[in-house]
Amino acid sequence: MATKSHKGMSQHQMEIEPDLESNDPYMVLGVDKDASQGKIKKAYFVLIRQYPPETETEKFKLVRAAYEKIKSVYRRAETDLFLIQQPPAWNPSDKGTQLDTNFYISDAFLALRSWTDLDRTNFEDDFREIEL
Amino acid sequence: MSKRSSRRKRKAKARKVIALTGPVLIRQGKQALEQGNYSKAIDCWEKALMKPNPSSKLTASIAEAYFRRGINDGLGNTEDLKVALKLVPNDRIYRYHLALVYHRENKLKEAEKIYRELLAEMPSFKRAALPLSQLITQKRKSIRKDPVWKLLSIKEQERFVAVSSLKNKRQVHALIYAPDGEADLLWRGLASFHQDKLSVARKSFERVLKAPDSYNRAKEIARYYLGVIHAQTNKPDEALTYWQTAYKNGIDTKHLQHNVGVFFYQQALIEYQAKHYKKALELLDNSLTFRSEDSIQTDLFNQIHWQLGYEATNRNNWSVAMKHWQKILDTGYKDRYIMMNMAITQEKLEDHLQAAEHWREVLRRRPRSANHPDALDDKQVSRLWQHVAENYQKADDVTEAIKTYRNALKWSPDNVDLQINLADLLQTEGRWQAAENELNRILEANPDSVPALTRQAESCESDHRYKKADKEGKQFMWYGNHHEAFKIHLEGAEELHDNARMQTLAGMSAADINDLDTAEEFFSRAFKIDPTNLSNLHIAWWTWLEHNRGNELQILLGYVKAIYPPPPVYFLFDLIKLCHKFKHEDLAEEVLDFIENVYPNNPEALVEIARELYAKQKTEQAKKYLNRVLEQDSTYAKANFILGVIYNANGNKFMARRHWRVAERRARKDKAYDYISEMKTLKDILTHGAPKHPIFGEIFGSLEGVTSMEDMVGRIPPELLKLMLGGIEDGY
Repeated sequence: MATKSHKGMSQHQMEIEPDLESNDPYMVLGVDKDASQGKIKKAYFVLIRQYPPETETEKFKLVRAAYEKIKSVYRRAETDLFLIQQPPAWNPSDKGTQLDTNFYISDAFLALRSWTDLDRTNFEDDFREIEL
Repeated sequence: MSKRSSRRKRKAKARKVIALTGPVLIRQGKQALEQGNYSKAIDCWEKALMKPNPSSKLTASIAEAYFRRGINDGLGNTEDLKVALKLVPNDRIYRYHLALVYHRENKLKEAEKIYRELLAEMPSFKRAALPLSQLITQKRKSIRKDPVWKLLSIKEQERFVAVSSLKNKRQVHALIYAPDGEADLLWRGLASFHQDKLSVARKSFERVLKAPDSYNRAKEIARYYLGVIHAQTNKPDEALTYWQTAYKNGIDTKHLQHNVGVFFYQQALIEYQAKHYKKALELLDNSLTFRSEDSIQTDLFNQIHWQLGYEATNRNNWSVAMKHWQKILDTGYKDRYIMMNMAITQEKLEDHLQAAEHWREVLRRRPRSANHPDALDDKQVSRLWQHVAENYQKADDVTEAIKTYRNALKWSPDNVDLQINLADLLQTEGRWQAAENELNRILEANPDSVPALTRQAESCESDHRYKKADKEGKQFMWYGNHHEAFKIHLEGAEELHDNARMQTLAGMSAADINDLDTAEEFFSRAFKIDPTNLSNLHIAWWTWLEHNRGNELQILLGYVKAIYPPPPVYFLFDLIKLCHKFKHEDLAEEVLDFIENVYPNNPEALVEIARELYAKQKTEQAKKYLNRVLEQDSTYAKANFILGVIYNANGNKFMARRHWRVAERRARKDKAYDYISEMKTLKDILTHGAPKHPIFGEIFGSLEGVTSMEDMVGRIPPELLKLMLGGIEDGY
């Protein structure tokens, strides 16, 4: 069952938790970028009931400023054109992200090589006495 | 200086000479060798060899030092080993090590030759058998058929057989079930792993790690596969520990790097999904260390930086956001939306020029198909162009701002606000006619447009007055009646006291009647109104050069230098040309220095500087500037062409033709047809002498014997005269 987080609007309707600190008016009002004008208006009214200008002046100002930016189709078009974009929706692909658990014959060659002088680093026994 | 002190110095010097004698050098060399400083040992002993009566064993010692240095680092150094062999020819140890170095460098042919020679000698140098066998296996040839097979011990033969079994997937079970001691534990582990017998494999590999006689490499390979087994049994942390240890100890196979990279990527993904972005980024950095060219990791990297950048913008932390956008761009991701974020952030940071450039990029990358879900309509495109223009305007780049306003208008021709903005900008630039045209266009479509009518009314009188004064003044100047021209300009300047152009014209005509104090007063007024107007600066520059007024020219140069962004290259070189015309070479040098300071990497500027230097016969300096251009862009047409001219003048026809060819090819590619034709003409003149071009005859043939300006004007065809006068009128 949907819980009521804001007066008159359920969490289903609010979609996103409003973030009053955001520069993004949609985030402030807690609505999706594709929300209808009606939905935006509804979200605005929910928030101003929660933050009335008489008691929550600063928060009211933030809500109001955000609403002003997208309250009409014309203003919204202008705002959308100059809005910082959120990261695009991204579904990580499985391709190339699986562990490689195969056997590699090259590892056997590598081991073979290590039994020869090719991988040795200390050849002090090949050094000659200096007879000066 | 006292006698005693100079004696002391002489003695010290003598002591120093003694210190460099043979025995001391030999001793120093020995000490250096013991400390592993082979280069110093070589140096000391080579010096000792030059002294009289060197020790007969010195050469062998030097060879030994070269040998030790040659095998001291990494793969080894063939040059040092070759020197050692030159000093002590045929030394078997030195030859063997030379073969090992060749082998490590994958020069198998050279290595095999030495191994076989060593084995064929009497007595045989048996150490060469094992690396030779390895080399044969590496070449994928059958080792059993090679004579070296018999030189291997039973244990060694078993190892090669084991590898062959694993490779050919034959008798693998024999390896797994061989009794302890009859098969190496590593082979048993690998064979069991190969056959999916993971518990046997794990036990064998664990025993490899514990066995005191295991080779390091065998241990690390065992560690890698232990990691794989743990990963398969859902113990990722243990797997990572094994892999990281193997990597630290020198195993850097692709599959190990892949697995470590994937491990960190998966951890990063979990942190990202839990919104622990910084932690995710740290893990991803680890992942990228192992798999730097993986696009999936880059996607996650960009996603995290985008998220962090977005969060920074919400906290108004624009410079931090900028760093995140930049990180994304550095990976080569140039999506329209990231460009948009970049542009908005740059606006917030008041870097309007860069913002304008990024907005242009947003426009360039927009989807062109109208059906695309992210398509922009004409109005939106126009609005974005307008925004670009506004940014240019804020960055004081009025020329670009005008251009981009015009672009905006192409997409929304009826947008009155845009037209008004453009008209305002044109007026501030003193382009009255263009501004009036713009206002007329608005009024044609909207005869009642209040902003257009207001602006026209405001500017009508002053504009009309200016144009009248300008036109009448020019007429008088043209016919040499400078007093009358001054009168007209003076009246105009007094009436239009805030019109910089009018003040400049008054200054110019005052100078024409040699009233230089008045000229100075009007120019001062003009530059007080607008010190950045290039056209006015040009007129004043010409005037003061003509009247040889050094102080005033320095003041003008000060204005030019203060303009930001700096005036265009062509304008500055025009100032230099005028300096040459009036023989102010010092001033030309000053302007040239300024150009070099403000445009240190601008190819156009560098080419023009080179042209200047070449004109002064400073050919070598000119070449340096041209080469600087070519370092940036090796096919830059103008630089190649002038280099060709220089080589041609020096008689190097081959190089001249080569540079001209490059220049022409580039000009053709850039579709710079005017420049191609200019180059062709110049090349013809340089190679065949000046031709009598028909068009010169056509235009100027009729001017022979001209005695006065009026006479000339009378003879020039009216269309050409219109063009020429138009050019004079427009100026800049």
